[in-house]
Amino acid sequence: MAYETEQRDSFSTVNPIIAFVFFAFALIMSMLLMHPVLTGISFFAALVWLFLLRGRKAFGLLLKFVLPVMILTAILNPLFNHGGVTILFYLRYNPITLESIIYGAASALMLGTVITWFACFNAVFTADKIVYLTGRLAPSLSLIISMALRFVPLFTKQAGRIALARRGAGSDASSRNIFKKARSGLSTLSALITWALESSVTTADSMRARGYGLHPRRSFANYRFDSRDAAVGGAIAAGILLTGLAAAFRVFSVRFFPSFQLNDFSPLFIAACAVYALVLLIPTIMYLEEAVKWRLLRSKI
Amino acid sequence: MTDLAAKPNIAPTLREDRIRAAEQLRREQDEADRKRARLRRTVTAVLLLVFVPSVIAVGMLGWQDRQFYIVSALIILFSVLPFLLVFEKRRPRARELTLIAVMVALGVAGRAAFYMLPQFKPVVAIVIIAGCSLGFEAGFVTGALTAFVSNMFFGQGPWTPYQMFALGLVGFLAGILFRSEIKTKLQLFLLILFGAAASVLVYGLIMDSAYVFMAGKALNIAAFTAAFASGLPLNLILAGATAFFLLVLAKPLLNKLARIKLKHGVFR
Repeated sequence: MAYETEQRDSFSTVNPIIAFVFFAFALIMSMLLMHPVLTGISFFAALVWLFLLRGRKAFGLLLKFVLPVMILTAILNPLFNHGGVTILFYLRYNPITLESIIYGAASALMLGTVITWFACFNAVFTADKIVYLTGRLAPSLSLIISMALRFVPLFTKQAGRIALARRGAGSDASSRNIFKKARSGLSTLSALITWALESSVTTADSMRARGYGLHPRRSFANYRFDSRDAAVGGAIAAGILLTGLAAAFRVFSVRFFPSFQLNDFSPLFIAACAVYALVLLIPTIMYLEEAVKWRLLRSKI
Repeated sequence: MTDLAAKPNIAPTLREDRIRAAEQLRREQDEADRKRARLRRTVTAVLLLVFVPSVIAVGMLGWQDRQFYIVSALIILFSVLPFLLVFEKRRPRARELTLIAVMVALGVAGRAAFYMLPQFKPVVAIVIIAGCSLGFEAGFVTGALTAFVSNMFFGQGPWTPYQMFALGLVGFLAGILFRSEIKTKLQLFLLILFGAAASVLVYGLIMDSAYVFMAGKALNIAAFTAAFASGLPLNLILAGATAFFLLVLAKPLLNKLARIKLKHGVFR
């Protein structure tokens, strides 16, 4: 899983702890701050990065998954939420209000943003990074995750071997009768489970023999904390601080009910939005910087 | 036994004394283990069945017009973490870890194998079997990690903490309610009944509520009712799948697990 992506995304190579903090910031802020301008900024940043990461595949994901969820949420909200003072019309004696439609649109945008950020997360956080991160907090659980990830392809392979052996021994697996097929499949599954359980104990014994549990667990992937990580981490920390301050002083406040109200776009608000956008665009900026550098270096040769 | 007793260098009485002493020691250790396990079970049950719902209730009341999703997700996260950390602190043995990993991998592979049939998945059944056989604690860990690991293949999202909690709870309840062996048809029937009920009332209810939280809709009865009503067909498919897979898998899989536990002295 680790090397499947062909992207040369620069942010994917920063220390996983920094990357995790970035995603936590992006997700929590996207969910907490319902101000349409901020959600728009976040959505834009997530979309641009997703396209850089996944290329054309991002379209399919958006059309098949993100868009339907957003439309569903935008439509359903006004049907169940009758708060607000501006009644537009009645639907079967239930008032449909302007505020609930705006709120529905805002929460649809929020949900789409969150899912898009998660799509970026799935592309960046490969299995080795997740095992590295959880390995520091909970070594046993991280070990289970890592073993389970390895077992899935192993079991698939073993199931193929068992089926082949059964065919060789004369058990008709390629019968057209669906019940016979299911029966044969179950026998294969049964053999597979027995084998898996037994070999799990062998694995455990081997782990013990090689000194499992004698010293703190280390993960295979070893991420150093270099100067670039420090720079990116510092930028993210500064962004979190500034955005947090702005949120605490209610620069981003928005009211949906009973009536929709946005603050005036003060210079302070615009500055805070710019900071927010800059932080969320860090991966995109890094990607573009890398691309420009590559271009320049290549043209010199 | 007989030819060992014929060995002249160890007097029979001495050897029997040793065996008796060893058995005594082992019995005491088992007793202590059982006591500790009982205490852990009470603590976890209180945490899960009393503490978590009350935190959810307080959170809902206190955060009336804020972001529901983030509050509920944090609550869920904080209710999943203690279990996983208790498990971690216990320093589980390697054999326990590998067995749980096998169950998690079976669940993940099961979800992948039936990817073309929406909601017709053996995941809940496998988690229930793990809970029955390996106990409530391992059941919770199996459920939560099956959700997490399978989402590493199918995509993490805002639903991940809810799935971890819901599947973990199913495994936990199975471990509390059922014994590890199925001897009569009645027991199998009860297990299947539990599986179907847990699919709809535990897993389905939690995941449908999660959608209401995620969509940030007004938290009124109508929104929840609508979510439950629209989720019901899929939940019923899941219940049918769980019942079917329990009918087919429960007995053989539980027997296999019982054999492994007996043969290798793990999860006693």
